[in-house]
Amino acid sequence: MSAPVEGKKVAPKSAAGDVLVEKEPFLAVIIADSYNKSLQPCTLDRSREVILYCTSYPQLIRSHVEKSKWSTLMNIKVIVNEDARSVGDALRDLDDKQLISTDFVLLQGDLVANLDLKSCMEIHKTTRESDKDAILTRVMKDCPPGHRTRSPNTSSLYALNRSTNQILAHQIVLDSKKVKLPTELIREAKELELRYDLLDCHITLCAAMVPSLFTENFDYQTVDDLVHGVLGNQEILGNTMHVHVVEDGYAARVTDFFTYKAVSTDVLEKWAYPFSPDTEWSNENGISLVSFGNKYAVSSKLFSKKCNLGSNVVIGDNTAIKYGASISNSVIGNNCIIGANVSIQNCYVWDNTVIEDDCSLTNTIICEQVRLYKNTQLLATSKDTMAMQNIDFVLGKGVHLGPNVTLDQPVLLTAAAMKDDWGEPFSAYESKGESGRAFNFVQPTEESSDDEEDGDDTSAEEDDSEDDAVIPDTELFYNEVLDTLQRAEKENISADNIILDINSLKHAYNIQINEVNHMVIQAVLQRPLQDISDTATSSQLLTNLKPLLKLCIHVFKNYYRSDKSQHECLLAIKEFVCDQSHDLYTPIIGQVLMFFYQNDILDEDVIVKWYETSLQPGKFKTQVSKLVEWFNEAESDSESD
Amino acid sequence: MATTTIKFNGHETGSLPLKLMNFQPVLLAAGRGERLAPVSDKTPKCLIPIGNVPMLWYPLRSLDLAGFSDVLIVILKSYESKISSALDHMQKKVPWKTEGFHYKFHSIVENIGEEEGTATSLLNIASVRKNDLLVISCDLITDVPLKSLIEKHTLHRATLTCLMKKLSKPEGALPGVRSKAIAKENNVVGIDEKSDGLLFIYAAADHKDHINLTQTMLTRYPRMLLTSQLEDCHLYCISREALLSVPHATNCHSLRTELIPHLLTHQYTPGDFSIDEDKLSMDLVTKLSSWTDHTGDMHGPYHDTKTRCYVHVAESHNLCLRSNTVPDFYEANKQIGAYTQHFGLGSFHKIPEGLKRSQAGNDSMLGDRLNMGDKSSIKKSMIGSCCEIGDKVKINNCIIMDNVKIKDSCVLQTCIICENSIIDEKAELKECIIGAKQTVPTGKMTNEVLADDEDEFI
Repeated sequence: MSAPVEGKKVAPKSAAGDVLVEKEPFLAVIIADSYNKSLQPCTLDRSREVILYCTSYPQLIRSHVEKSKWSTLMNIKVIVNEDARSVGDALRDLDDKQLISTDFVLLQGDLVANLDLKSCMEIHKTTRESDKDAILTRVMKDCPPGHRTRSPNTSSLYALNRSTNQILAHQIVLDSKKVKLPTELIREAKELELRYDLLDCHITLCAAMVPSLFTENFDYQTVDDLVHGVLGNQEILGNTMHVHVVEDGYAARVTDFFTYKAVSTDVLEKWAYPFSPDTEWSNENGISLVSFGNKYAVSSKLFSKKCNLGSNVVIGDNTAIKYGASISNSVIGNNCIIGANVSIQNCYVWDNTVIEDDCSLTNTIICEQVRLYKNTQLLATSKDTMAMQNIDFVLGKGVHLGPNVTLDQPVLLTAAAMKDDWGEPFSAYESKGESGRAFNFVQPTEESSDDEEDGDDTSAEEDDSEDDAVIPDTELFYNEVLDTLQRAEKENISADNIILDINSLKHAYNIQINEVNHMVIQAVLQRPLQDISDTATSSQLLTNLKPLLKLCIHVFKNYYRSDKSQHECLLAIKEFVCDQSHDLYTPIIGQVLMFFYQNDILDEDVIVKWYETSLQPGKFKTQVSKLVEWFNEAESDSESD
Repeated sequence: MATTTIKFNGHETGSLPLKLMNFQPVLLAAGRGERLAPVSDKTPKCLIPIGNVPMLWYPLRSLDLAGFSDVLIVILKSYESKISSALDHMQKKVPWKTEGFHYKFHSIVENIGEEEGTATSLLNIASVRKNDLLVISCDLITDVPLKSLIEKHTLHRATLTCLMKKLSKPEGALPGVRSKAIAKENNVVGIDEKSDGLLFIYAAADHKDHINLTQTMLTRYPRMLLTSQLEDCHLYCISREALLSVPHATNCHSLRTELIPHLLTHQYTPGDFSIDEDKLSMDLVTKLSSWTDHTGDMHGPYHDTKTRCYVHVAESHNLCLRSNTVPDFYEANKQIGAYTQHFGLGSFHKIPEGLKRSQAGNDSMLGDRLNMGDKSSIKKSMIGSCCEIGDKVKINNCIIMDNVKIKDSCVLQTCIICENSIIDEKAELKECIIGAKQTVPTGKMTNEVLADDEDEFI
C-alpha cells in the first residue's frame, strides 16, 4: 500500500483559491505519515504556509511536492525527521523547533476529502472567541455505522454538549464490547448527545499551545491521547475541546484494505468530486473520461477492440489490454499488460504488472511488478465478515503466481519470506504454480502476549532468579505428563490422582506453576494426536479428544482457577494450534473452547479478552469469533430477561 | 395563563373516529397514593380533589374530549360505589361531550398492593378486548392532544408509545416538612431524535456508577440523546399483541417497573412476537417501499425489528401535571385554575352568592354551601364544599377540602387541610399538612404534618 491510486494523491482543495490571503496567516501542518499502515503524500491550499512533516520515504514525498503544481501556489516547507514515530513525536519536534506561533490545522495524509476547510477554520475561530479555554476543534464527518467508508474494526463514541458541541467524553469502542458510560457525566450535563456516527477526518484545528501540551506530556502519541489527557485534566486546567461535524462534502480515510476499497470506489463514482480521476486536481497523467459509466483511460490505443470495459474503470498510461478481456469496477496502473480473455472485477492493479491470458481475478489488490501466469484464478468464494471484507487477496510487490493455480481462500502474499529478528525466515513458502514466487504474509507478532500479566510478574521473576542454578527440565516434564494422561486413559485413573501425579512431577522436575499451567493443556491437546493417523480429519480428532477432556475436567478446574491462569491456558492453546501449527485443531477449536466454557473451566470474559487482545487475524481467529459472537447473542438474550 | 391556546376542542371530536376505534382506553385508578400521604389516608387517591374535582375526572375528561366513548376504569373493588357516585355527581354538573360516552369499572380485589397488579390488569383486559390499549393514569392532568400520540403509534405500528414531559420543580413555598420535597428521581432516558424512538429508560435506582450501552443500541442509533430532564407522564399506547405475546409478560405485575422496561429491552432481542395479519401486511408494504427510518446501513426500515417504542415529548405550552406526590399535588391545584376553560369547568367555579369579591378573589375556587364569616379573606386557594369559615380568617395559598371548620381569627398560609378537620380559634398555620378528621388547637404551627398514625389507614 505504499503507492497511491490515481485520484487519491491530492487532498483538500476547494474552488476559490485566493480568498484567504488577506487574513492573518493560518498555518497548516500535514503529518504525511499516518503512523499506521499507509503513506500518501498530500498537499493543501488555503494556507499561506504549509509544513509537510514526514518520517519515511522523504525523497518520494519531496519529489511529489516538487512535481505538483501546489509548490508554486504556496510556501511548502518539508521537514524530515526520521526519528518521529507518532503524531506526538512530530508535534514535540515542531514545538522544539519553534515553528508554530499561531493557530494551525493539523492534517494526516490518509484523508481524501473535499471539505471546505475555510468554513471549518471560521467555526474554530468563533468557538475560540466564545470560549477562551477552547484549544482544539476536531473536524468530523457523519458516517453512520454500516457505511462503507467506515472501518469495521474500531469506532469512536463521543458525548457532546448539544448546543456547543463541546466534547464531554470520548471512548474508543471495540467491536462486541459493551460501553459503560459514567452516570456522573449525565448528572452533570443533564442532557447530552451520544454520537457513534462520527468519522475522524484527522483534521484538527489547534490553538498554538497544542504542541507545547505534547511536549509537557511526553507519553501522548496521538491526538486521541491528547483528547483523553485534556478531558482527564479538565477540572484542573479547564481546557475544552470541540467537534465540528461536517454534514455535506466528502471525507473518508484509508486505514485498511476495507476502507481502501470503499474510498477508491467513491472516487471512481465521483462522490469525492473534485477528486475524480479526470479532474485537473489529480490529473497529472492526462487521464480522461473515455465513455459513460465512469470509464477513464489515458489513451485507448493499446486496447483491443474486442475488450470489454465495464463501469467504474481506470486504465493507466501505456497499458495494453488484449482481446476478450473484461474489466469492471477496477483500477489498472501504468505499463500493465492484461492478457486475452482475462476477467478482472473489483481489483486494484498497480503499475508494471503482467496478467497473462485466461486469468480471472476478483477482489484483489495487486502491487507493482506482479506477474500472473496463464490461467491463474483468484476466486472470491468466502463471505468472510472480518476486516478484509471485499478484499480477499493481496499480492505484494513482485509476487509471481501460476500457471494454472486457483486460490479460493483469502490470503496475503509477499515475494520474499518474512524474517524474524534473528533473520530466520518464519513465513511458509507457498508453492503457487511452477513459476510461482510467493510467501504467506504473517502480521508481525507484537511481543505482548507473554508479558501481559504484569501484576504478578515481579514475584515470578524473583522466583526465576533464585532458581537459576537448577535447570528446569520442561521437556521431560511434558513427556511425563503425556505418559500420565495415556495411563489415565487406559486404566481410568481418577482426576484427583492425575493431579497428584502432575504435582509430584512438578516438584521432581522443578517446574514453575505457570509452566505447569501452560503444559497441562498442551499435553492434553497433544495426547489424541499420538493415536490418530496422519490422514485423520478434524472430526476424528474431536471424537478422540472428547473422552480425555471429560476425564480431565477436574484437572483443568484445579489448574485454571484464576483469570490469570485461564488466560495462560488460552495462550497455550493458541501457541499449540497456531505457532506449533497443529492445524487439525483449527476447525474444531470452537467446539473445544465451548466444552471448556460449558464445563465452567474457562470464563466467558477471559475468552473474549483473549480473543480481542491476543489473536491475529486468520482462520484460527475466525473460528473463535463464532464462539464470541455466540456469547454476544446469548448476552443480549439474557439481558431481556 | 390565558386559555386561548386551546384549539383542539373543536376538531378533536369526531375527526378521528376510525383511528380511535382501534384503541381501548384504560384509566388506571386503583392506586393507593402512598406518596400522597397523609392526604390519601382516608380518601382513595383517585378521588382526591384537584380544583374541587376528583382527580380521576380529568383524564376521563381528556378521553371524552378526544372522542373516546368507551372507557375502562381499573379501581379497587371497595371504592366502586364511592367512585361511581362521585363521577355521577360530576356528570350532572359537567356533562360529557362525546355522544354516548360511558365507562365501565374493572374492579380488582383489595389485597393487591399499589403498583402491583397494574400489568396484570392490563393483561386481563387485553385478553378480552380486541384493540391496542391506551393506558392513562388517574393522576395525570393534561391538555396534550391525545391524537398526536395515537397517530405516532398507529403510523409506526409501534409496540409502545409514551408521553413524557420536561422535568419541572414546583416553585415557591410548599406545605409539609421541608425534607419531604425530595429531588425527583432522575431517570436517564435515551431518545433517537430523528424518529422519536424511545431507546431505554434507566431508572435512577438501577444505574449506580455506569450506564451500559450495547453495541446493538449504538449501531442502530448512532446519534442518541441522553437526558435526565424528562419525566414519564404515565400515558401509554401499548400494542395488544405485544402485551399478550411478549414472553414473560405474564410474570409482570407492575406496569411501570416491569412491563415497560421489558418492552423497551425487547427492542434489542431477536425473536419477535406474533402480530396480527393487518399489521403483517403493513410491514410488507413498508418493506417493499423505499422508505426507511434511518440511513447508513442497508438494513430494512426499523432495523427489521417488530418491537419498537416511541416517545412524545409534551411541548412547553402544553399542560402536563402529575399529582402523585404532595408537592406535585399542591402544584396541580395551583395551576388548574388557568385551565378550567379547557376542561369545561367554566361554570363550575362560580363565586357563591352573598360573597364579596374582596373576600374571595377570582384566583380562588370555592365549593358549594360555603359558610363564611365577616372580614375574612381567601386568596389563591381552593375551598371544598360545606366548609365553615369564621370571622377574621385569612386563607392564603391553601387547599381546603370538604367539611372543614375554620374558627374565628385563624391565619392559614400554604397549607393543605383535609376533609372533616377542625381548626380552632386563632390558630396560625404555615406550610402545614393537616390530615382528615384532625382537630388543630389554638397556637402557631409551621412546617408540620398532623395526621393519624400510619397504621390506621386502610
